[in-house]
Amino acid sequence: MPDDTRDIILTRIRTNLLVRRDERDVSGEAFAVSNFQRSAEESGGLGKGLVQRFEEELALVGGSIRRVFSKEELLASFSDLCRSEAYHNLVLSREPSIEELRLDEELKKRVPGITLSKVSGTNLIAQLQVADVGVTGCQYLAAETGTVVVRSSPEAPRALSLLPRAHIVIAKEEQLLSTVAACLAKLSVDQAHPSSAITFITGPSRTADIEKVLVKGVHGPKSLHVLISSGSI
Amino acid sequence: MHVTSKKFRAKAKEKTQDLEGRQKFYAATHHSVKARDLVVQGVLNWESLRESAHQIKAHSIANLADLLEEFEKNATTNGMKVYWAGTEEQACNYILDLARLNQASLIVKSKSMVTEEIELSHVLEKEGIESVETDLGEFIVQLAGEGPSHITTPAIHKTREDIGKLFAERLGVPFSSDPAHLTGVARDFLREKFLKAQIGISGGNFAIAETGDIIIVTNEGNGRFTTTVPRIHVAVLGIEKVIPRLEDLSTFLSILPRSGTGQKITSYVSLIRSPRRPEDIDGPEQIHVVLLDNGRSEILADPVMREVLYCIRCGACLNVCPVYQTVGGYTYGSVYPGPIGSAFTPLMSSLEMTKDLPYASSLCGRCSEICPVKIDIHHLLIWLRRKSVDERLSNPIEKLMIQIWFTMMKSPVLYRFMSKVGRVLQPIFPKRNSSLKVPLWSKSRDFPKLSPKTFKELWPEIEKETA
Amino acid sequence: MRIALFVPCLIDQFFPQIAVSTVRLLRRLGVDVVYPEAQTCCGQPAFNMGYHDEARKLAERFVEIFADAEYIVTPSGSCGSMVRVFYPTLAVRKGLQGSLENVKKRTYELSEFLVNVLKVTDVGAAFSGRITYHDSCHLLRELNVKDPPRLLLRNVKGIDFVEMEESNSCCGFGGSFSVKFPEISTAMVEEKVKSIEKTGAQYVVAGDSGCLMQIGGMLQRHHIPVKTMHIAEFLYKGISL
Repeated sequence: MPDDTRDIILTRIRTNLLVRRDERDVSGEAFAVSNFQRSAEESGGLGKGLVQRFEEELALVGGSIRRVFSKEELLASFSDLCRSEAYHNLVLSREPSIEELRLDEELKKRVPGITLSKVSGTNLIAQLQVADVGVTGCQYLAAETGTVVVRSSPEAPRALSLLPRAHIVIAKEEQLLSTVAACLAKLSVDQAHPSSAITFITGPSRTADIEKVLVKGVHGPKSLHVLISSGSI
Repeated sequence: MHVTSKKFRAKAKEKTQDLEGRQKFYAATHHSVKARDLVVQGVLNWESLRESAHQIKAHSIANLADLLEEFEKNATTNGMKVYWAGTEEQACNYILDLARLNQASLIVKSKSMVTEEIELSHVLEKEGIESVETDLGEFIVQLAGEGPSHITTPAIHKTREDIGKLFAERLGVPFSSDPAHLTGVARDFLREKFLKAQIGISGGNFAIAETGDIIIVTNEGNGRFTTTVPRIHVAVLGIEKVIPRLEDLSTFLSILPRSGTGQKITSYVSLIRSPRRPEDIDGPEQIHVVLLDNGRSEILADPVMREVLYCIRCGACLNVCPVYQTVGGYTYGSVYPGPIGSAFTPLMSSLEMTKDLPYASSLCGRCSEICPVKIDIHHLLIWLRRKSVDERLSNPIEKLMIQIWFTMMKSPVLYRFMSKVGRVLQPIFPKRNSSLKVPLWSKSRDFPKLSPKTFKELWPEIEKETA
Repeated sequence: MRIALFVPCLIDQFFPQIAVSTVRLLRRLGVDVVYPEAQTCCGQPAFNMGYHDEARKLAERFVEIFADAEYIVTPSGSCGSMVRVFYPTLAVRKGLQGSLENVKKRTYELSEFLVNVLKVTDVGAAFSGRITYHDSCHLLRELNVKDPPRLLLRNVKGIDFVEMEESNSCCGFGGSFSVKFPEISTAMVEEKVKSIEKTGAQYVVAGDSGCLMQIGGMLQRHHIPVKTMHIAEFLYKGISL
């Protein structure tokens, strides 16, 4: 590859930018203001309580949410979800937050006929192709928009929350932040565990490409369920 | 970039005659504007967000070279490969070489205006490589052998029946015009392609200099698939897409989905940092970032037009433009239609090839009003008109008429004299019913007659009046 | 208080009664009106078409003529914006920079002058009937004048004021645009006329004669019995009848 293309482009950029207008020098001094809190301030604000707001926003985009206050409640709610949605084949991430729940054991007790497996390093795509649900934890949640921030890792590969027709997220209330901006702020400093990809997920996949009619479940999951646990589990 | 803007006038005329098509398109664009207005209404600091976004872009463009270098450094450290493409040929060749090297026979693409700009599909096709558009709207127009007619809703001009017929013909499925069913058909068809493809090609909404991240904003999940499943991911971005910090992204995430699709946020925002690490069990093995110049660095030489590079490709100016609402996207003859396209295309091509575009506007200003990054689009069009005149591209008859008019306006004596002459001659001017027959106007509208006396002539009497 | 009247060339040639009504209306409200007779055109047609040399020269002429005026008032949003918004983008000669600054600050469109400077929102007019109002693009988006005309019109005694859908949608005039792209221009005014008809109004009122010419031309061609009227004329008629 001719390295000089890079230099040609950079030189041309720098040379052309030297041409200045008389009045408007756009070095952007106002830019120096930190943009961390630069997100939409909405009428109504986030006053009611983050969890309630998160619930409302997620419902607006067609996701479902269940709030639980104990491990038993979580398992009961999870089982109930699998029964009502007819989820038979679940693939679980190996994240600590999922592992500690021992879902593979616990759900087998409560939901007859259910199949649970943990993400496989050898046959991931095939495993996910036949799965109904991918189960992951998350990094943060944003109340403002009903968003779940999911990090990819060896324990939670990217395809887990993408291929199956449903995605279940197990979250803790302390992970809930007010805004998307706040999530970005945290991610910005959280370099301890660099991830190869981070996805902000807000509801099921959707399109309105045909006559602007909203259709859910295009290439990504058709359903998104979030279980938020409060208190110590 | 393939530009057929010389056909603008002829296409526009045709489009205005299709009354049914106009009504449908009008309804679709109005629907989009309503959705956008609804979601923006609840935002208290909308104007201040626009200003912030403008400032971030102004700073980014003013420091473009430094930011691009910073991006390259960080992206490379993270394991991405950065390629600088001066021209669309270089970009296509790089991707072609990559495909050949990896013996790729199938490529999946997620939505990217820039890949249309460089005509990548055409190049891949010639090579015998199957390249499949995976964004539903793009998939539809690809099947139909057309280009996208809108930045964010590529198939906005097609009805569900059109699409049902298309799928039946091209995919061999039974006819249905139910959007949910059709979407399911596309999902199944495309999933196979995702899983078989050797290379996934995407665009990128932003490139973050500070972290080396590529940001992709989508709803369908095809963006995630394209950048996750195939072994190789290529992201093509215009050089103007780089912004300084991750925190700056929050401003854009507040304005882009609202302006583009009337949503608070899209279903997915992907922050892509690196290829799969040794311990990861999925993710692409290689990520190539193609930074495309293709004329953008030249635009920087004009300090007024530089602003055109702030565009975040939301499509709001298209939806709200009465000209676009009337003639649709294809009329402009460019990958980038609508108001911003009329400012950008002449700069990427030439004013000579795109003469009509800056003039195909009544300068109503709705575009500038709605632009989330506060680009003064309609004023940029006036600037291009000035350039057009300076470059001697105007119609010689028009130029002559302006000179005559100017001569008259410079001199009050001549002005008064010509006013009198006009009134003396008016009885013999061609008429239509009882109004003046004026070329180009009177075909569809009545034109008023010159008043018996001008205000100047009336003034001496009016002056003497008391309240 | 004294104002210098700035009469758009379109009004001078085709609709002088709008300027006459403007004078009479202002006088009724206690304002002295002078009319600098040397004026011809602010240069906007040349400017919008890209002929900026010619526009600059006409701008310089305008500034010289109006340099000493305390207030400059014009019954036109587009001419008002030419002076306030676009004159600064034309590099007028150094010696006139000072006068340009003054002229810029002192130029007003009629309705904004009445409401924001004279502080008059009720001119004492009366009209019983239904009217609707069209927002001219320059007036609305370049000069940011949205409420003043509505205030003035709503305060007319007996009036039935109805907002049309898409009142701020362009009528398609755009000066030379109306003849450079006549089919698109016509399509745009067709939509505007549809909105007007839906209101059931007897009159459509606006602050720019270009818009009124375009809309009126369409209404007339299709024999639609809605009349167009400039806000100056409408308000003055409302006082004098």
